[in-house]
Amino acid sequence: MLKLKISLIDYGVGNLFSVEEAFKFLGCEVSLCKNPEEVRRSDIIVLSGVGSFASSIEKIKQKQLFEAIDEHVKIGKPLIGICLGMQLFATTGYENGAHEGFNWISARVEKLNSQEAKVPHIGWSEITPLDSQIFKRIRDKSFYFMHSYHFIPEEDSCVIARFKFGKEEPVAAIKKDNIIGFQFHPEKSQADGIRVLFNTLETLRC
Amino acid sequence: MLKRIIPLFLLSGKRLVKGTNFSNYIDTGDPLSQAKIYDAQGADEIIILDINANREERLIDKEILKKIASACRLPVSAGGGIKSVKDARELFLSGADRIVINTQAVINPLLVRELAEEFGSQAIIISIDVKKQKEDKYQIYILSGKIPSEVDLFKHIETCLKMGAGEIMLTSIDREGTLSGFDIELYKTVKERLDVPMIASGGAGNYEHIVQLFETVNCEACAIGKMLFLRDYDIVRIKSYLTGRYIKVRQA
Repeated sequence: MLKLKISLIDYGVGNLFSVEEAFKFLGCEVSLCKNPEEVRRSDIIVLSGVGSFASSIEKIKQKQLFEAIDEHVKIGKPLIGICLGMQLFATTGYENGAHEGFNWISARVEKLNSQEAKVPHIGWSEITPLDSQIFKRIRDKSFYFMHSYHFIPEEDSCVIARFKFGKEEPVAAIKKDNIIGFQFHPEKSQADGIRVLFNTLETLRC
Repeated sequence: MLKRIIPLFLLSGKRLVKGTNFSNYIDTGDPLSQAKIYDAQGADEIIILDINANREERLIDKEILKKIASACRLPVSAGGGIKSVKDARELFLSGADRIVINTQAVINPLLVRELAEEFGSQAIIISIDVKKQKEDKYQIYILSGKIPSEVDLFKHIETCLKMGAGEIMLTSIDREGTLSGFDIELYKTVKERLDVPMIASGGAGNYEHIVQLFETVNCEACAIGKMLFLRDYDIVRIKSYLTGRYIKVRQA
């Protein structure tokens, strides 16, 4: 069990419920963060979400959370991004025009494109782990995905897992210093998902 | 992409039910305890639909969703009585990962667009119930199979996809609850004319039915009801059988 304090950013979209329950299951204390003061008091931030890149960034800015979250990461505190939350790490998101993200990693977010596979990408896909720490002791390599856009970093060094999508191999997870992001939903990926979250917290805690 | 095996939960108020051809429903237990069982067996997703919500002008029970989302670690799709973005948001906030729209997509296709713009296509499943008329001809029924609709099946699918639907769940009313196998012709015909991500539903009764579906129709998932709830099958054995037949599924 990990007695850590998790702050889940609540900017008014998406299913925070499952994320909250998954961290509680690991023994964490989870609180919902709705204003900049709460963000500044956080230890570990979790950024989740569904919907579009633009509307999420807009909602984060509306609630004046943008600067506080950005500051949290820049002073070296840990942050976990899930699905759209991970995509927001990028420089620019191209969904209904170009929109600026947090720019923690030089990257673009673009629509998935494949002749062989269908968009949106929904369901369980096998990943290729490139990091031994985050994916240690998992039983299977399948995780639950639910997205139409993907993360394209300028440099591959931040990529810690990829998945097969037709002939393409998009990013499944990224890690850079104090931030870790998952394109899939660990909170929805049964025992292996919980294991990955556990490993992530262990890594970030050190 | 791994094929998904989805237990289909039909809810009537607070209890699960199961019928034959959309009638003669009998009680099949408590949704939370059943969800825990299929989560433990390694189901790939759960779809939970309240079959009376629309007619009774209410939304599917949010407390049940919350309980399932806290107890299980698998994706949950929920439907029943969603008439607005506000309704949908309530379900997402109660733990649904995706929402299912059936009757309202026929009555008000613009709702599909509103939902897709707000929550993204990946979160929207359109469920369509059809009865076979004659060769290649299927009629859509709304309100849990009660009322026939004049909307053409192919046009309806096309409209929904244009509005931003992420996946189509197609149910054969003729096969539902009969354990007599999927209506392969239906799924083939639809797949030939429109390439949509699809969940086939209605008729699964034994291992071979599922094998036949995935061998002949390139659909993404199948929903299973009676075979799981009222017969001696489970997800572990279904997946192990499919693996033996070279159909790629996630190991339970």
